[in-house]
Amino acid sequence: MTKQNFLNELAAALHQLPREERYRTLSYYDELIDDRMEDGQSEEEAVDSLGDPELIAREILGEETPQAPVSTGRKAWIIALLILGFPLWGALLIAGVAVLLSVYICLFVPVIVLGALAIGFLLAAILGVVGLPFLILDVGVLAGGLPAGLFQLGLSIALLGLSVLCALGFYFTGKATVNAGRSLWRWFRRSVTRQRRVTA
Amino acid sequence: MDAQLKKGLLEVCVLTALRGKDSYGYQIIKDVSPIVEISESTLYPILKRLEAAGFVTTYSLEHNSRLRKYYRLTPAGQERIRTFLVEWQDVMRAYRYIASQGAGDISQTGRKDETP
Repeated sequence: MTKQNFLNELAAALHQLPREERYRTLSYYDELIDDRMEDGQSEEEAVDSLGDPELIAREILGEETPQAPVSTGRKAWIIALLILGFPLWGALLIAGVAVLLSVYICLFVPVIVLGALAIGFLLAAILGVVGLPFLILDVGVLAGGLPAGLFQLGLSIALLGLSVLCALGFYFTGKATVNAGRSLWRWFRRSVTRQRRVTA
Repeated sequence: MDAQLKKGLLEVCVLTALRGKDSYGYQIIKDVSPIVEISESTLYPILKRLEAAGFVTTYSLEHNSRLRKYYRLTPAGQERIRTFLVEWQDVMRAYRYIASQGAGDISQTGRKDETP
């Protein structure tokens, strides 16, 4: 048998393989025949020493076929396990999401508190100043209304100061929190994609 | 020889044939066949497996105006040889034990299945 006949028969017997795989097999045997001929064998001898192309093909296909069903079977198993395991991993997933959510909420608690305090102090200060004339008139201008009014004015200014402090705190904590939230989200996304890469 | 055992041995023999120098199909067969019987159609799936496992890499070189596929041992492949040697120390110990205990029987039982 000539080399070309051998390769043709092998190619025909391997027709069910993907083209790239078939090409790789054929070039392997092509190279071996050439190397044998270079080593002093005749084309006939070189081809005959390889054996029957039908048998070679059956061996190669036998090597291939068990792999495909195993992998699809395993895939089916994984899907089945994922579905059956949902009560377990579903609960874990929900718990994980809840933990992440609560971390997020906790992260924003200082900002919310500081903001609420700033608004509250500001409102109290405004109320104190607006209510000043009413207080003075209610107590009586001469019956100690002026000192009481002065006291309330001072209190309102102090509350305004507290409000400004809280607003400053709100501003800086807010900035820090947004940054922290962003980097937490980035970390979360990175760890998820890394896991995906590992399982893939 | 047990088929599974032979397959495992051949894999490490092929890796060993690539130690120190890259080699190609026919040369590997010539190097390994005096040690363990190997044919072209046995070598092909072994090379494919070794490449898939990352124990060898391949490249093509022109030789006499045709392409020849060369195989090169990777560090993972060298590690595989080392692992084999370590694991087989246990096998060798067992072999020596068995041989020392039943040395007189080898000629009768050891070759029983080969004599017609």
